[in-house]
Amino acid sequence: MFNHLDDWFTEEVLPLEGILMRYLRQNWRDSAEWPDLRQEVYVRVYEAARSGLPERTAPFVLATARNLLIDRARRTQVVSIDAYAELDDLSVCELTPERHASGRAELNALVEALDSLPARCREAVVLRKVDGMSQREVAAEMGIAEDTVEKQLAKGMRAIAAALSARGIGAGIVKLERKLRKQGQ
Amino acid sequence: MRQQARSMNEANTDVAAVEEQAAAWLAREDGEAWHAGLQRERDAWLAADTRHRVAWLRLRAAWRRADRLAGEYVERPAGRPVLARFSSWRMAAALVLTCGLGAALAPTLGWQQGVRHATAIGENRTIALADGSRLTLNTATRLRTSPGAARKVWLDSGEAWFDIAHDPAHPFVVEAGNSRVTVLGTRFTVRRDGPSTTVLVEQGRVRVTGSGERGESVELTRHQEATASAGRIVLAEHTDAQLEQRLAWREGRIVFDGATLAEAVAEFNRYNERKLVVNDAQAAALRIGGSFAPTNVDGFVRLLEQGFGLQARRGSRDIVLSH
Repeated sequence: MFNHLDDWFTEEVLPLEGILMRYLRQNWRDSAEWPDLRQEVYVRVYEAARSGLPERTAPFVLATARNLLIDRARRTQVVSIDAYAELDDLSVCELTPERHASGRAELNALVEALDSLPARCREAVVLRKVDGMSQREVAAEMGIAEDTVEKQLAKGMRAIAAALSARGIGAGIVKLERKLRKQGQ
Repeated sequence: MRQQARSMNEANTDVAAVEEQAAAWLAREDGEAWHAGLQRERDAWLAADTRHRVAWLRLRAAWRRADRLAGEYVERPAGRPVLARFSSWRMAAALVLTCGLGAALAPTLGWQQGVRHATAIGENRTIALADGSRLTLNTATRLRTSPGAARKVWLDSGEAWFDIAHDPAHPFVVEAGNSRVTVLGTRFTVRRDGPSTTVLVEQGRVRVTGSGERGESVELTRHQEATASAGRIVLAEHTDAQLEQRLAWREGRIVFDGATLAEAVAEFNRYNERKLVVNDAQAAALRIGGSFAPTNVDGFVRLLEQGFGLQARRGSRDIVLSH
C-alpha cells in the first residue's frame, strides 16, 4: 500500500510547507481558503508525480501553487488576473531557511506546539511521546478510557502539524541533519 | 466500528473534515487495538481519494516528528514565575480560601467583604461560583463577587467567559462598567476595552443593557455579539468558525483570520508585559492568519520576520516592528 511516492512526498514535499504557505499568504488574500489551497496543491503535486517525479521538487510545488491560484482567480473572478502577474517571480533563494533549520529549532517548534495545547490534550501527548507510554498506559495514568486518549492524541496531532506548518513538515529531518553533517565534513 | 468505518470512507471534500478523519486513523493505528481488518479499511480510505492520502501523510509526518520530544520536554509548572511578582494574586487566592469559610460565617458575623479574582498578564484561570456557574478569566482581568448577591458579578477589567448554571427564578447579572448583562442560564463572554463592553453569546439568551439615558437594551442569542460604548449598542452576527476563534483563548490560543497586523499586535499586547509596537503603516496593514499561543511573542515575531520579511528591533520593554 505504501510506496516510493509516499516517501518522496513525505521527505521532499512536506518539508516545503512553510515556503508553500508563505507563497499562498502573499498571493491569496482570503486566509480562510489557505488550508484548502494547500490541500489542493498537495493533491495536484501527488497526482502529477504518479507519472514521474519532478526533477526539482520546490520549483515544481510552487509552480503548481501558482497554476492553482490562477485557476481559482479565473473561476471566482474575485480578483483580476493582472494581480497575479508577479506570481511568475518564484524566487528560489527563498528556499533556504527551512533547509537549514537546526535540530534545536525543530525541537523548539515542537515544544511551542506542546505548550499551546489544551491541558488534557497536552498531558496525553506528553505521556505518549515524551515519556514513551503506550496508549493503554496513558489511559491508565490519566484515569480515562483508551478511546478518549485516542481522541486527544488525534487532536494533538493536528495541532502539532499546524504548529510545524510554518517551518515545513517532514519526516526527513534526521536525514537532512545527516546530509548537512556530511557536507560539513 | 462498521458504522464508523463507513462514515470514514465517505469522500469528504472539506479540508478540516478530511484532516479529522486522517488524525482519527493515525491515532487508532498508534493504539493497541489496531488489527489487520482496520488496516484494510484504512488502506481503502487512503485509496479512495488523494485528498485523504496527502492529509494522512502530512499528519503522519508531523506525528513522527513529535518523536523528537522523547525525554526532552519539561512541562512548565502551573504557577508561572510571573505570578510571584503579583502579590495581589496571592491575596486574591487567600481571599478565596477565606471566603469559603466566610460564606458559612457570613450570617452571624455580618461578613460584607466580597471576593476579588484577578489574573496577571498572560494568565488564564477558571473559577467556580457557589451557584454552580463556572467562569474563565482571560489575561489581565479583575472580577468581583459579593456575598450578598449570589447571582451577580462585577467585571472591572479584562475578559471572562461565563457558563451560567440555569436558574429561571434568579437571573444572573454581570455588571461591566456602564453596561449590564442579564442571563438565565447560558454561555457567553464579556470583554471590556476601556469604555466599551463587548458581549458574545455562545449559547442561550442574554440581555445587554447599555449606559444610554433611556437604558436601552438588546437581547442576544447564539452567535450574536453586542458592543456597548458611549450609550450606543452595535450588533454583529458570527459564524461557527468565527465564534470558535473568538473563544480560543480559553484553550490558550488566539486565532486571527485576516486580521491586520495592528489588530493582531493589540491582541498580543493584552497577554504580554513586553509590548509589540508597529510604527510603519504599511506593516500595520499586513493581513495575519493563524493560531498562536498568546504569550509566545518571540515565536510570533520570528514568524513575522521569516514569513513577512519584517524587521524587529528587540528592546527590553518592547519589540518594534517595521518593513
